[in-house]
Amino acid sequence: MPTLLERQRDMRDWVLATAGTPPLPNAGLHRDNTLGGLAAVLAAGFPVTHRLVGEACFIGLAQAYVRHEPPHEAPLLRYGTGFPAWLRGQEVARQLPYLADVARLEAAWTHAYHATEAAPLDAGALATLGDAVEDAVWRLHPSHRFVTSPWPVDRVWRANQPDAGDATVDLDTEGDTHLLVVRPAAEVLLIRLGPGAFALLMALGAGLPLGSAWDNALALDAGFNLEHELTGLLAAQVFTGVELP
Amino acid sequence: MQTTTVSRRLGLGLIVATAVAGATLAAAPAKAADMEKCYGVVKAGHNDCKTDSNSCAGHATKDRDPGAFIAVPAGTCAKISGGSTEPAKK
Amino acid sequence: MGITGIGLKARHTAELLARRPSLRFLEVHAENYMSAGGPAHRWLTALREAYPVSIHGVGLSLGGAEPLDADHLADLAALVDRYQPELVSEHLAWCRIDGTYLNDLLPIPYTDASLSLVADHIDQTQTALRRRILVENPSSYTAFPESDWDEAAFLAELARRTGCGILLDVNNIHVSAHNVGLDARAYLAALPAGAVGEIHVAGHEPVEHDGRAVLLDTHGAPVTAAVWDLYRQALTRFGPIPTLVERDANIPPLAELLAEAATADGIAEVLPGKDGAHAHAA
Repeated sequence: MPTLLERQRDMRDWVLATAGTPPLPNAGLHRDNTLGGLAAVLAAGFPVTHRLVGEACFIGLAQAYVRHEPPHEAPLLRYGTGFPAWLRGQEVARQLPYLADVARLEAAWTHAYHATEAAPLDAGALATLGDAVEDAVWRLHPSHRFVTSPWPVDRVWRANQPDAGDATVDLDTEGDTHLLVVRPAAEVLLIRLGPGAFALLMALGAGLPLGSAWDNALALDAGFNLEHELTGLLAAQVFTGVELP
Repeated sequence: MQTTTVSRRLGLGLIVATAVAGATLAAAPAKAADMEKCYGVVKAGHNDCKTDSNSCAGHATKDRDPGAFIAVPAGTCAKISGGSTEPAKK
Repeated sequence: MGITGIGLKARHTAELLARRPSLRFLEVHAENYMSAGGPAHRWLTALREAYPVSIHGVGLSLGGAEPLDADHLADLAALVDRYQPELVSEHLAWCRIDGTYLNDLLPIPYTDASLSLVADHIDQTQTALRRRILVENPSSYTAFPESDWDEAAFLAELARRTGCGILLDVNNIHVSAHNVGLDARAYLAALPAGAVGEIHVAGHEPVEHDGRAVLLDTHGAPVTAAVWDLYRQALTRFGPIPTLVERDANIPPLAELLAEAATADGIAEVLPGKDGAHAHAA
């Protein structure tokens, strides 16, 4: 008789293989359940990607990905972080060139959704710093991710929400899209950033003080309006702290 | 160059203070009953599997054909127009 | 207050928070809360004020041939610390091998070697959590030729060796009885009366696989009459044990789950010789 270890390796090999002889009667039920279950997890984590390609195509892609990269931890909340990059190499990504970037946005959304909580910046204390704020380092909320794409992936994402109606998206009307994905409270926010605001937040996120970050923003966008952008970002509570060096 | 930078930065504290004031006005106070804001509860019609990914203690009834690889997109990508070759304004 | 709880599902959260219907407890899958933060923690924290919590793990791989995943066990311990659940349970099954997780509860042969291995894993878990856990009987689709214990005796021996309790899933007994020929009545009789700490009832669905009729444990349909009957027998033998109406697929509106929970409570109330029966007669 095989040992327990051999039994379990045989079952793993059978479940993840595309052919072969079942190691036990009804082992096919376990293969169907594992692959079907993990494909459903990916469909739940990438609902817009799923809607874009449709059920049959998505399940085919998802099961191929599961065989390529099965889970390495029991919680499946984060399963599929490698799915967008893998998707980029598939035939379907040539037909729908924006698809992998939409999946990347969805992975950022999932990250923000499950990320650690942090209290927002005390804006009152910020106002008392005066001009010393120039040298201050601003901490972005730990849930944040930046997503940049040549495609308007946020418009594709919004047009494919369950309550979006019949909205359509024209990919040819705009260029590079910069997004901040962040969850300051219970809801994940998708904030579209102009090139200046993107440069500002990238610099702040990298630990540069506000003065230098502002220079970066102006270098990319001479018309950058710091007061206007900060008003929006502070209202959205995307910062958690400001520190003087 | 040096002088513009200095004069610009002298006003930075004021700019930030004005932004703080504007942000305070813009932020709507959360209603006590607004559960979506407080807890992020799932809206009707939205898929809640994002939080229930490990629910698969039960078996899925659908027998999928694991060998099938259907690479023909047939979803809402039809709602996305343009972009068939290159992204805009590259 | 009855004896029945339900699984906490995201789509029912708003209604539970607003209405707070009477329920014995809420059960969650441990792995769905193994994140640093997020809405799930916000609502479980709020609901924990109103309901006792049961944490039901599906990913520890107690039956795995390799050592337990130390990180996973630490995450489970942290979750138990955080929510102070009334009940903590896992499965007599495996799901991890060579670091790969299969999202299923896979069967093990019932041998002396398996018994020592699973007992060691339960000991390790109970030590890490500093509390007793309940171990659930699986739904079976196949029997191993090398098994020389029957399942109920295997579970009873695990409980005796480790002091763990048993989470008795009566739907799984029903499904296994059909699929691999267990005797459901003998199964209940073989379990030690004091060891059962929780009961699960759930729905199943008949499918055909390889030309044979199989009952699939889907958690996706209402509880059947046969399973309610077995549940009545289980309560008669084990007493009014906390019971979960388990639904993980085709999740109905909250009212339907509450109605199923009321069915279980109704069965508990009219048990012969139980307190509920006296209360009813009064």
